[in-house]
Amino acid sequence: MISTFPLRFLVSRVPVTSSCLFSNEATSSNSLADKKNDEIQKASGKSKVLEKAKVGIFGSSTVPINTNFPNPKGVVGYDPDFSAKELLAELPKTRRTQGALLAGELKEAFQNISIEKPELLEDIGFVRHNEARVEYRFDTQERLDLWKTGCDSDWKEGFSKCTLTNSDHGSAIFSGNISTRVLKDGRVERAGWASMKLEDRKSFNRKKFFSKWRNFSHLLLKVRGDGRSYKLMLHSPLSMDFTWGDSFSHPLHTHGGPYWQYERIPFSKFFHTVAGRIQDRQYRVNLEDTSSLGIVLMDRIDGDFRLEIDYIGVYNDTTHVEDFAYETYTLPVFNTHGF
Amino acid sequence: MSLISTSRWAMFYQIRCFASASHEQTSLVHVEKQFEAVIPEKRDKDAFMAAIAMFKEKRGRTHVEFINTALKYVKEYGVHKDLDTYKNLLDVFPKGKMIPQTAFQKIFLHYPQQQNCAVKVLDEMEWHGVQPDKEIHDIMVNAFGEWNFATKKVKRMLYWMPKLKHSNKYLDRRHVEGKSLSPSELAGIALKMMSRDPASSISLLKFSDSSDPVSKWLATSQSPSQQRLISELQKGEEIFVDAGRVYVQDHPVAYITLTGTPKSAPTDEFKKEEMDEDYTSWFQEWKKGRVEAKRSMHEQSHETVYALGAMYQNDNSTALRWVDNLQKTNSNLANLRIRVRLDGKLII
Repeated sequence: MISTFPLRFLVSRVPVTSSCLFSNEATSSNSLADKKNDEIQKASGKSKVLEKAKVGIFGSSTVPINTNFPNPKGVVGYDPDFSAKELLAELPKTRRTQGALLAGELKEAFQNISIEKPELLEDIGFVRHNEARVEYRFDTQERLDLWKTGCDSDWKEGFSKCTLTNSDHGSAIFSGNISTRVLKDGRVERAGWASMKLEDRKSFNRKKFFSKWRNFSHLLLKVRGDGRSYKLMLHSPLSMDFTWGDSFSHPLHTHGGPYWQYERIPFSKFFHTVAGRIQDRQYRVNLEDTSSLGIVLMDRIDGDFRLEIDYIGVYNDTTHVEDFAYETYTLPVFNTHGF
Repeated sequence: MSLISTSRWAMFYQIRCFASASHEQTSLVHVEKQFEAVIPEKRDKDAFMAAIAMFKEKRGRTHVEFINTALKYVKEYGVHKDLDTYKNLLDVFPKGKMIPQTAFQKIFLHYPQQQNCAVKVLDEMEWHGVQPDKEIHDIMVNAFGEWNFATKKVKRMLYWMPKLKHSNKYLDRRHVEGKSLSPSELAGIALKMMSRDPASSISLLKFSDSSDPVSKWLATSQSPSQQRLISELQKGEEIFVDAGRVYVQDHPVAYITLTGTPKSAPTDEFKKEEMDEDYTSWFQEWKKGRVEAKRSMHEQSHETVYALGAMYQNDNSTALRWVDNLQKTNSNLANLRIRVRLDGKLII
């Protein structure tokens, strides 16, 4: 897909492609320059990578905000272009899947009519020490389908690849290849990431929050890695634009080898990041707002990776009383922080 | 901002290249040529430092252009993990001139090109995992002022990078970083990282003399409980030698495992605690508990790990040699059927 990408002809300093393209026309320098200009025009007509960013009402910010919403995905250059015909064709499937979700929700709501509210009991301290609850397993295709993968080559911004597949003993294998080679399109500066993210939603695309995890102290994962360091991200985007990039992160180090590792990461140790960047103002993850979980690999190491995941859940350790692990900055009174 | 400026620069460069070859003598090309002129064999830290020193001597005004160009060659010159280089690069910026004096200058990005360029250098440092120190902070303070945007980037790095530097409890990065380790040393570190049994001992067998061009070695990691598990195996049972790969920081290390099918049924990791007091089957429960307590960590639900190892080359014949060596301490291996499955694809 990337190898036939027309834009690389634009870049003058790729000796291999340029020489093989223009070797037979290397008779006169003038015609060569014209030919190149033609190529550029053709390529820029075809490609979408360097297209102009859509201009919003308030300036030409490429960052999606509430008042400047390029598209429903909030991604620059995302163009789903589907026709009404395709929409109609898709409708029965959507009705089926959403209907099933809604039916499940209604059934659960009617079955669980009770005065006893388990989460209320947990709030007053009914979660015991050493209690664990597994929330996500990967043993069936439906459970695996809740997780989506993404890497830089999906956005035409690099050459990394990743897949999420079932193993033969009921676990998921997140594997692929990381390449830090930067695509020479003049826009991308860094490359080499792959991630898997949970897309577990209620019917009609409503968010499911992790609020029932709030009385547990640790995130629990049973994984088997390859010695590389992954990153866990608890995504908590809300409706206002300044929260869309909010996530809480913590590294997930693996030791590799044939042994499984039971990784318990305290929620107090997750630090606040926006679009992957650590923030100055730190606060503890609020699980009431957290709606998704991601495992990301961006360790700047070229090569294959493989992470096997058996389950993801929560664990409670009553001896863990720490609320938040990081002290916060004390900025001088007169500072440029707000600007 | 820096994004836009670089892409513009790239466009400019392309346009200029395509238009004609007569306007070659601009300063921009000159800087690039300075780095290009050095032959690949001589591209090292000294050559890079010399280029920086030469620029400083000329006291040119094109700091941003020079640094942007120099940054592109950081990896080619092999100085991308070197703190001194980044210090020298940031030292190129003139001192004092760009420190904001008025409130207006403090609020808005004062000398935006220069600040963005400095942030780019710091970002490159961070990307390559180079830890900043107080000196680099002081260099930035002298160039841009105490609480300027670019200086805040150093402060953030100084705060967060040491915090997360040693968060990996499985591998002590001090044993790997900045050292030229031989394959056997790397294998030892990898085996130590992977062997989760604290009782396991790692041994290295070297069997090459000084006349050998390549050093031949075999490494093994095995614990007493793994030896006991092998001794308990029946005659004629099958065990497997498989290959795998693990990363010790950015070094991929190949290893092999000696595994077998599990002897006992997988245990449930989670026990449901029942509040009712039912003692009708207490004996079965007690027996089950005793069996489970004896189960070692090597007996995983889908495979039992008998040993871990690494070799100087990964093929079946070397693996058989490794097994032969292991047989000295595990005599029962002679009675077992060993299937070596190395030739072919690696697991990862």
